[in-house]
Amino acid sequence: MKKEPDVNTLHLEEPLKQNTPKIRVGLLKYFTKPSTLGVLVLCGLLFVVLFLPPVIGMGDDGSTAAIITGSDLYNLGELTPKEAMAYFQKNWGIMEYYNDSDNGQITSQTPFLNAARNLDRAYTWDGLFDMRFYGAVIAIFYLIAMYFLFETVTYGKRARWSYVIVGLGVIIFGDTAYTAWINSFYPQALSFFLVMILGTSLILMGQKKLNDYLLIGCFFLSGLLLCLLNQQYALLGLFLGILGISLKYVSADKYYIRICVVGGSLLMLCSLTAFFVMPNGLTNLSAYHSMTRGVLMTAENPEQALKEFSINPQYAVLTGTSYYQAIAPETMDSQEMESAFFSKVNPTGVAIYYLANPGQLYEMLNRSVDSSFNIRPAWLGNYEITQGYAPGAQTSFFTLWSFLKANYLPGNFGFIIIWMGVIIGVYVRFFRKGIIEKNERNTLRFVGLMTWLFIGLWELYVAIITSGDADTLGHLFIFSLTFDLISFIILGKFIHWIEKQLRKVDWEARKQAFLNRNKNKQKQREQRGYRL
Amino acid sequence: MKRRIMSFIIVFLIILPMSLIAATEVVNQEAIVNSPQDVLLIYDQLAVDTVYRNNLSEVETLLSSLSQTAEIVSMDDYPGGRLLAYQKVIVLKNTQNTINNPALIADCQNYSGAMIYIGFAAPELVPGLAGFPVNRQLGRTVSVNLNGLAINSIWIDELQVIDATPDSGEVTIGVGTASYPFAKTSGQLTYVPTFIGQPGFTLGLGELLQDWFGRINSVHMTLLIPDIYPFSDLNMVIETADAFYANGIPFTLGVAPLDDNIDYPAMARFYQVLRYVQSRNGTILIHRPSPATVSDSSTVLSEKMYTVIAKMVENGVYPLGLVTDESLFFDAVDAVNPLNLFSSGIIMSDTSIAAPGPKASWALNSASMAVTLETVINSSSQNRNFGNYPINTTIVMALPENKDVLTAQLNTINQKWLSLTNYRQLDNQWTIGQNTVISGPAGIWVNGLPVSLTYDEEPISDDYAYQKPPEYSLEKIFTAGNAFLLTVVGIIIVVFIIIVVFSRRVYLNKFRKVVDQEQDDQPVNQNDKKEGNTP
Amino acid sequence: MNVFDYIMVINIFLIWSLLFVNIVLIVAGYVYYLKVEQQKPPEISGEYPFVSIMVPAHNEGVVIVKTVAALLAFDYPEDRYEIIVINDNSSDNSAELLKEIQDDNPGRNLVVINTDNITGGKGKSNALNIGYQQAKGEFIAIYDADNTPEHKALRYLAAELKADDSLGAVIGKFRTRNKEVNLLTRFINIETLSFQWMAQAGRWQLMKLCTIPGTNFILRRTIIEAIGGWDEKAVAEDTEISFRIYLMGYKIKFQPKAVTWEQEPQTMGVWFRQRTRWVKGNVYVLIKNIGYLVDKEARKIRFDIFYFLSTYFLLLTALVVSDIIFFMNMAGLVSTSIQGFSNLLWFTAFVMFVLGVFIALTTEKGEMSVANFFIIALMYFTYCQMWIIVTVYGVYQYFKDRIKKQDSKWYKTERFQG
Repeated sequence: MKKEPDVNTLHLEEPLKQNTPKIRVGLLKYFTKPSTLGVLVLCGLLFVVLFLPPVIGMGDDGSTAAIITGSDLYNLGELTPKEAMAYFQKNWGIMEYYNDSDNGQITSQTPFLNAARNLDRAYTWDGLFDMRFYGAVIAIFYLIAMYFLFETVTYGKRARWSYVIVGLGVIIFGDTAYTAWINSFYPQALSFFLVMILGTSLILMGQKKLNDYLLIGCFFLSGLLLCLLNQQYALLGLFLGILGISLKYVSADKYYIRICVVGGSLLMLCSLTAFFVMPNGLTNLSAYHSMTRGVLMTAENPEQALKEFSINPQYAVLTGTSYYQAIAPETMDSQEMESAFFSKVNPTGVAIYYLANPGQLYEMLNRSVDSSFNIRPAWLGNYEITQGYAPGAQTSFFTLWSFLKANYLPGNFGFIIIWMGVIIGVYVRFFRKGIIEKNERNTLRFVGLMTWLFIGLWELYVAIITSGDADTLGHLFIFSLTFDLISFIILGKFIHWIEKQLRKVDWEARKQAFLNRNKNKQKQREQRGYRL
Repeated sequence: MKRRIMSFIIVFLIILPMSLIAATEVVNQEAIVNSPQDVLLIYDQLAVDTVYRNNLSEVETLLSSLSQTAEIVSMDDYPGGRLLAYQKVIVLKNTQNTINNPALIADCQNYSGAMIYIGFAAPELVPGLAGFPVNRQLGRTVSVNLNGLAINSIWIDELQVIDATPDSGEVTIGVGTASYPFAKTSGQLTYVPTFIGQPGFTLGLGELLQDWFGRINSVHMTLLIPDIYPFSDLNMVIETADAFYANGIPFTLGVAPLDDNIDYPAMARFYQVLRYVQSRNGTILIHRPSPATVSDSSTVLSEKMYTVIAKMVENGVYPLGLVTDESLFFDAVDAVNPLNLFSSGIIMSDTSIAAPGPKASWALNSASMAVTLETVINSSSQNRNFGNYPINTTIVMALPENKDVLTAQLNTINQKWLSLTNYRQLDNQWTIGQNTVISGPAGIWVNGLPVSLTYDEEPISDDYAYQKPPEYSLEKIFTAGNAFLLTVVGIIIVVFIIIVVFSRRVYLNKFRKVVDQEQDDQPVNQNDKKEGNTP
Repeated sequence: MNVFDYIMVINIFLIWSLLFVNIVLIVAGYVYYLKVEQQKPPEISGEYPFVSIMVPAHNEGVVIVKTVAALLAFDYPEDRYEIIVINDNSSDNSAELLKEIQDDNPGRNLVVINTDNITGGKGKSNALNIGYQQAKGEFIAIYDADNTPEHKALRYLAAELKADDSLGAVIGKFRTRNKEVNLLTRFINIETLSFQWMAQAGRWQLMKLCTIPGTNFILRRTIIEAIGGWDEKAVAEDTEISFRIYLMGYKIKFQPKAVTWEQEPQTMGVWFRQRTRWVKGNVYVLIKNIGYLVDKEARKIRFDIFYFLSTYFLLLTALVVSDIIFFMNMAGLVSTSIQGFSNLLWFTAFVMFVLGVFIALTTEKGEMSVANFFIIALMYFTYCQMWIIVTVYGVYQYFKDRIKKQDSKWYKTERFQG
């Protein structure tokens, strides 16, 4: 597939290149390349959104407390929990002294947080941690990921249409609904670029764009970081590990094969270890939602469903409620709730329940897809409290795509099924071709997309069993992201196709045909008369 | 019969003006909220890491329990001149830190109203304090002696007492055999040298404040089982109600007003249990929803609360008062209709640190302060009867986990010879939405009519439609069309079956014949023998 | 009720009415079958008419020898018929094979016309026109190159046509020679049988109309003369001829006793191309003649046009639209609020379909079996759905060609050895 457009463009590009004056410096050329230009635009955008006041970020729902403790950071406590959700907090405390509290949790976020903290200390020594340093660290990786993504869709060409595609990419992935997560301690900040690198490294390998060793390294590293993000991501490593091992068929290079086998096995090992070693991190918050915003909400009879979990059927009154709104926090923390409700809810039980009730699962898929299309949860604010916006206010700067997505895309699983059908239908022939030709490299573009699709669907399911349709753990975010990534790649392909079709058209001939139309009509009329 | 009607009319005539009075009272209450508060409370610091950390919230609790409104301001935030707008001022000094607000010091010099000064003396602020002889003792176990009741074994790190002999009928602090007055008054100034957030001290201060505000009501004590949810152990609720009823103990049940799914059978079952509790001398009170659970606007909550209360009344459940945490009084609760329409309530003290910042409270018509069962156990009475604490109190007892705990708690209450008041017989009234509920010694009236609290079980249907079935248009035509087509298709199927059966006969006849006729129709090609006519 | 609800209601009405039209045809076809069973096979009275058999062939080397052998073996006086094979622009060894047959049968009327891409290669109609120049007979019979007619087929066809002057053409029945090969050919076997007994026999019984199937039929030379040869633009030349014959006031009779055995596609790809060609051809004819639907002169063919119209446009549109609405409903893009019929009704309708098709099978020896019953049931879910796709694709291709102003190409159906 790659060859076809290449041949076409080569013919067009070659004379063009000869015509360009030699004065053009290579550097300038590099910077005006669509993908580089796109990254530069994004860079400027991020600078405005994340670093200049009003600084945009995500409110804190308290779920990341353990993770930041692991990096010696703490919440200054200037805001009440409710305000902390409604407003973005820029400043956090750095623990001055050695602390040995066991509350800290080491995840793949830790090295990034540590780097940001040390960076902050290099600048100021005020005991305060400015979130923007973390944002800066994440932003660098995000920009690299975006460069990869743009490379996959532009094939490195300088064609006018490539700029259109990159422009679309900037609109979609530079959307503030996405980039606001960069200024937050949520795992979303990391998974945002990790998922991107994971798929694009495969696709780029298929396109033979960049060095294979670099790409396979990116693949394994991002896979590892993703599955160490927290315990629920861990099992993803098994899948990625198997995929990694099977990548050895792509190249005949001895070292490459070794890297694949070793990297894949290591990834599987790590993910298994992580799954059993990491604390499951599931709070009462997510357990609550997995029932009230999931099992109970879609059950024909919530009381019956509760009985299956051997929970007091009277809990049916909580059907559809949110943890933040239903009952007092004291009650949620009470011993009674713990023993009568929370202790009886676990993801395995919920997963089994859904397998036994596929109708409810489908309904949940519908609802989850819908809520995932809101990239920012409505209850998390974007502004600092000092900016004077209403609690929970979210910025509307550069949010065209997220607005369209939330309001105009049909948010239900039926749509996703049709969408998947189209994507697989369009791309599966490349896979088939690759398999028939015994050219595994050519299958990679399909494999890359399918990896995203698999990760997205897996996360959708995990989201449902761990927190219903309330995405309190960032799983639905990944689904939403993979949806956008796949759609973007397909869109890029479609635009290229249109371009190709348009180039084929002989416009001059069309024009002539149009001018001759009247003549032909007259002729036809004469002929008809003849017959009669 | 005639007498019955007569008495009915009399009761009605009594009730009618009562509701009028009550209505005017409501107006007054609202007026009070808008006018300057009853008292100004100035505190220096929250003293988070000391034993004095609860002091502010305890004083606030007391004020609310005594139905006094207050404006609360820290010394640092004190705006000049504020003091002079009040006739009653409480100063709470939790630390020995110096005062840095010159406006406050200046205003204090000019202040001529009544003042209660609590805690570390600061003569630079209130010169009159220098006149009190203070005795400082470290590490003492003390008791607080109220009128006839003593709360014992209170450990105190740093005790400051006024070196004077207490008058009779005064609250005293007993250290060993010695006895000191809890507070000393000199002119307009009353000094409370030691105050910690502990029930004994709080009750002591309560007595002092009650006298200071000149409230000479008869005091009462009630019992509250708080935090009852539809998903609480309802069997235990029934069990407890039965046991209390059998022992002649009136009690109240604090019900959380869940506002979701109030049509569910689970909710109906809950109301059923609450009705049963009412028939067992229990009174239903409503918890003020936690503001942390109230997502955005209080108007939404307000609408929901109207619905909840209407639903309760509809189901024969009559909540008579409000149960609220002290801090919630200062969280603009008065903006939340209809919770501010209750005339009475129970104020629970908050263990959480009071939030900083200036604020103002409002007050219920009548209120009582929550005390734990443990406090009651630690209190000793001079008489066989327990008597009353100096202010209205409500003993808070969690719903027993099992029968054994229930029996133990029942024994405690019985052994203490508590004289508990039936909350229902106190004067409570409210008008919320379409309903007006009044209670008093004679019972409960809803919209002017007395209601029977006897329990009658109503069956609760289990086949509640949780998921709304989709609505179809043209349903009739399609049902008719369906029946019509079914008939037609059915007939056609029958015809077809007849044809097939008939065909079989034709088929057998025909091909028997063909076999006789021999290979006439045989295709030419040899390869096609399989299509030949051999049956 | 929104606009989609109304569309669905119209769809449901259309689908059910067309279903009932076909039920009537099934019953009528069966009545005709019983009638034919009672009658003796037609015999020629008097002199045998001279018949020119035309066989257009394009790269038919695989099957042509067998076909010509069968044609030569007709139970018909050798001097009263001629065989004209138009070997149209073939690139295989057809020419040599035909030459061999000619040499082996010196005394017979066997004409072979070989064309190249200049003189021929423009499709079946063109080939027939070329053959027609050489034909001498008063009747013209046409067989496809893959046919193996039974001995008496020609005799019956000629007898019918000679006996009744109001007939413009007589068509025979075709059967599937390779039905045992796989499930697809079994499906086709059932399809051809039920189509002929329902559509052909049924329409003949009710309104003396049939559609010429492209093979195994005989017609009067005068008709070809009158219409000036075959329309070379028409891919479905048979349907086109049928319409012309109706318009001239003639009837077309179905004579099921004249049987030919035909080879049907054995793979999906071939099947798909062949059927797409049929659809395109029929759509062409339909659109060409659609004006007659309101023409008072052409009352006779109104039903036929309506029948084609309903199959290719109304039913198709109804099915496609309801499928689209189903998908859009699934995706939440539209919402329909009509209830739809009960599952029981859908099931009984399915049973009705199976029985209706089965009735056609009872007319043929060896077809009335339990296995076939289940194959029909399976057909509903597979073959019939494939037809929908083919039809959509064919209609789409037709209009695409129209817009691009391309003349339709004649995709020759691939033949299979054996």
